[in-house]
Amino acid sequence: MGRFLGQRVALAIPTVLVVATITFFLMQIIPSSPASFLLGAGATQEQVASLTHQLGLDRPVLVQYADWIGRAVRGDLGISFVSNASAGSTVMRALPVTLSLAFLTLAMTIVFGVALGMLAAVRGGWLDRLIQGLNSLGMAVPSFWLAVLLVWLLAIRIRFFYATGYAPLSDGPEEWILHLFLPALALTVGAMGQIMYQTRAAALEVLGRDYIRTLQAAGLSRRRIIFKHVLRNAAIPVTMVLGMTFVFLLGGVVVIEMIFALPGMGYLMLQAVNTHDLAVAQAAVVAFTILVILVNLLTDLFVLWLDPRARRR
Amino acid sequence: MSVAPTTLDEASRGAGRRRLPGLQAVRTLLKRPTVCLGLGWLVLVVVTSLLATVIAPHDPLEQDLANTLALPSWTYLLGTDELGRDILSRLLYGGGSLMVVALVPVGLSFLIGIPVGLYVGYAGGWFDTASGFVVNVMFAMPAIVIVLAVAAASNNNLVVMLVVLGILGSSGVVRLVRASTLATRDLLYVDAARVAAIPPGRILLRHILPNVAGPLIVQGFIMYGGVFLFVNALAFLSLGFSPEKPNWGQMTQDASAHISDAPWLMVPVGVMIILTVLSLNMLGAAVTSILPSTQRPSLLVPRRRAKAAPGSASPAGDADPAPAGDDVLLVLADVSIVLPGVHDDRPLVEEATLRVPRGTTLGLVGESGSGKTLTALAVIGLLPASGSVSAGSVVLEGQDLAALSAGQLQRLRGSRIALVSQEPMMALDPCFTVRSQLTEAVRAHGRVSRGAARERVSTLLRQVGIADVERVCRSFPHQLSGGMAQRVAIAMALAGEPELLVADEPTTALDVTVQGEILDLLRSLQHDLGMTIVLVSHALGVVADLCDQVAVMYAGQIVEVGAVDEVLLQPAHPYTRVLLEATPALYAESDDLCSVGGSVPPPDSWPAGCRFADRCLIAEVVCRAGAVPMVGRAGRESRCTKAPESFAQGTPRELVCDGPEAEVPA
Repeated sequence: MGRFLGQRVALAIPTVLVVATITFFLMQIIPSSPASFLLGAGATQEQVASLTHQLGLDRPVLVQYADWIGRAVRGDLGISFVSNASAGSTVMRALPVTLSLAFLTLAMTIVFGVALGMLAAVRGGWLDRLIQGLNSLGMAVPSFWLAVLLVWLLAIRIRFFYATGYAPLSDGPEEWILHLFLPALALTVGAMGQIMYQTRAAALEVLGRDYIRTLQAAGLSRRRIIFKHVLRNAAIPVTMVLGMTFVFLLGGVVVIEMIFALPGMGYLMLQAVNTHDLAVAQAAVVAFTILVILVNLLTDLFVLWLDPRARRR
Repeated sequence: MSVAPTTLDEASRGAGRRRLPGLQAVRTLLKRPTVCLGLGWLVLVVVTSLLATVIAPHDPLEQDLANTLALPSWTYLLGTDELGRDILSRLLYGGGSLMVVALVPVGLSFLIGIPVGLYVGYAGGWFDTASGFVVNVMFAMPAIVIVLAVAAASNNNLVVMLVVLGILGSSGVVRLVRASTLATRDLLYVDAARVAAIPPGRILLRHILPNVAGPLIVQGFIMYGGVFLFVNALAFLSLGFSPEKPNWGQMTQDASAHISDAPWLMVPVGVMIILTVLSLNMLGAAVTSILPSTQRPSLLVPRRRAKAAPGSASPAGDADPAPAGDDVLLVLADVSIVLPGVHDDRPLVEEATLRVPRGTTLGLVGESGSGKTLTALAVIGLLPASGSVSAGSVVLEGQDLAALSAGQLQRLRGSRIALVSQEPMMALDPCFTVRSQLTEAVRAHGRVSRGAARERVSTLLRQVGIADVERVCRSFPHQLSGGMAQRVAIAMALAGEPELLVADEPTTALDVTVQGEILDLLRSLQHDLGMTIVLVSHALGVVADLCDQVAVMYAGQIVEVGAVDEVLLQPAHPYTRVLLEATPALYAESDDLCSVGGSVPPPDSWPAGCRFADRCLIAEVVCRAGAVPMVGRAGRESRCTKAPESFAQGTPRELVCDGPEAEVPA
């Protein structure tokens, strides 16, 4: 168990480094000049050259990389060209917003996805077909379109939720949820489809296992078999794909934060895109990657807890 | 690529066994309404956007400032936007562009992913390990975030963004193809091709790629839908697309600005996007549904019990009443069993009549497909796939089980009838300890305190001959040997102190040395607890060893029934003799052959007359004329036209020995 954890952490560190490196070079391969963007259209060649030199962008790429990665491992992710603030702390300020939205959405996705998947698998028949149909529909709805509609309906027509902005959890859970529920709902509709399909498939697989017959033969109630044994066994493959669902969710979060003007990492990222703020964009990618790796680590641990057969390894 | 975890994983799990039979599959698919609708919509979108210049009623950029934000009218069929531009024309012009754009990353992912996946899966070695790391790194990369970072660096260069997305997405394809290649690599026909010195390139193309084609097509549809949504999101965020040319994502952005004063604007564009992605998803789902699946039907019995065919279920003892003084525990009277949807609802067991006196053991013998296991499962009401007793009745101590509700039947299970099944390693839930499962079984039959339940679990385990009770209690099923697991399964069956134990081939899956121990255990349990046992087996040796009565089944019918010595010494049905001949330990001489070989026919080719006639050497015209009834006296019957003669003269055989090792070859 401890060894497994050690292995995973040992593997996670090079993964972060590799992703950071890939991102860095992706930024370099593509010709762009942050200096000319920062100075605007009226800048002279000399001005651009001098700012480029000032920013250190005229050094050889490998030198820039060594400099950047050397600082990055010490926790310094560079300085924003635009705001002159530390890119690391800029990202850290935005992180709680994104974490709140991502985990609220993940929780809603799991609850609805697992419940519907179990219902479809156990009941079968027309209910199964209905759930699957609605699910395909949900997966086809663009989250940005749904978000706009939800804002109009539940924040403008019926003034119940907030249309924009964010309130930290420290302002009270009520404010927090009233700000985050609509964005989370817009994301859940699309994301829960994957969990639902996975749960349904896993539960059907478990329902065909011999031990389901043994448990019934021993006189256990249907409810107990479904909620204890089927759910527990089906949870194993579902947990294994949770990491991928989370990555999918993060993509949606970026878009949704724009619509709801949530000052999270997606919002930050988009600002960085529009202002060519490479340092912040890179820092955000590193933060997102660490987040994904942490979630994958957590799901691995959860599988270990769920499945005694996995503990042998 | 993060778009489709579900299908990806599903597909890679079963990839090795799946094969898409080409044209036939396309034909099957085209018969489905969802496929036709989905395909039709996609074709409609593509064709109308190709012909947009011809069929669009207006120029997509033509402004009509007198008619801004108009609702649908005859001039503007779907209304106008904030500049008075025709929505329908803009939708038509904007339809194709993003669908083409979305093809780029998907195509790129497949172009990279298929050869890499095939190569690393087939070659293996360090290259596989290395690429495994790379793929895992790519999976940890939030693709959309990276694409946005790239957008920042490339001044919103769409081509660069799409290429990066395609490269990141290839990791999913690599994973899928690799898993399937690994599963196929060592199959016999691939080995054969390798031995025949066929070049690896051709093996990969001819033998391995077709196996992964189905899951890849599914993956393609789902990925395409996801990428299409993503490029629409990019357009919605005004990233990488020129604002002059209309597209759906950007139209959604325009519409969202007027959500309060012109909510209608959201509708047409939303419907277009949703229907397009829905079509892709439906096509993916349709392909998934025709891929061969190893899915077993649900073993969970439905909440409401399937109603037996009206008027067919007859009350107990209808056939012939129990002889006075005979304490009969279980009676099956003319039982027929149907599994809905299997073999056109044809009964898989017909007219099965059995009587099991209390405290005795009945053996149900036959080859695979004879219906013996179904008959046994009908007794405990656990037929698979919502199967039901369609005619006749199962009566336990005068109580017709068909008359019981699902809840009453549940309370009956474990406490009056229990089951031991064939595969002990499969029969226990792998996620829970032995103690947990046994405690659950004990507490299913009334309120028992924790301490008392713990005590009872230990007693049960000692009862089935387990010495190291503590260790076994703490074990998970995968930590037990087959014999040990079967003992635990028997302990679980005993938890509710049942009167009747249904044992479905309890020794078949075990090592020969362990088989004897388990049979001894069953015998001693019956002796100590006075249980009644119905033992299903394909081994006459096991039956001779353990049973008082035996019923031989063939092709869904009981063909011979009687006391064990009588049936084994004087078989009255040729099929019983075939079984005996195949059990040399039981059968001394074989002067007359009764069979021409063969196996049990499937239900759809059961003949109207004697079902064994085609394999029988003494069959006559009369045997094929019509259904053969059971003949003989109560408790000793046979379904053979020659049975009366056999009963009259007898054909004594000598039983030479008994023992579980004597088995009929399956």
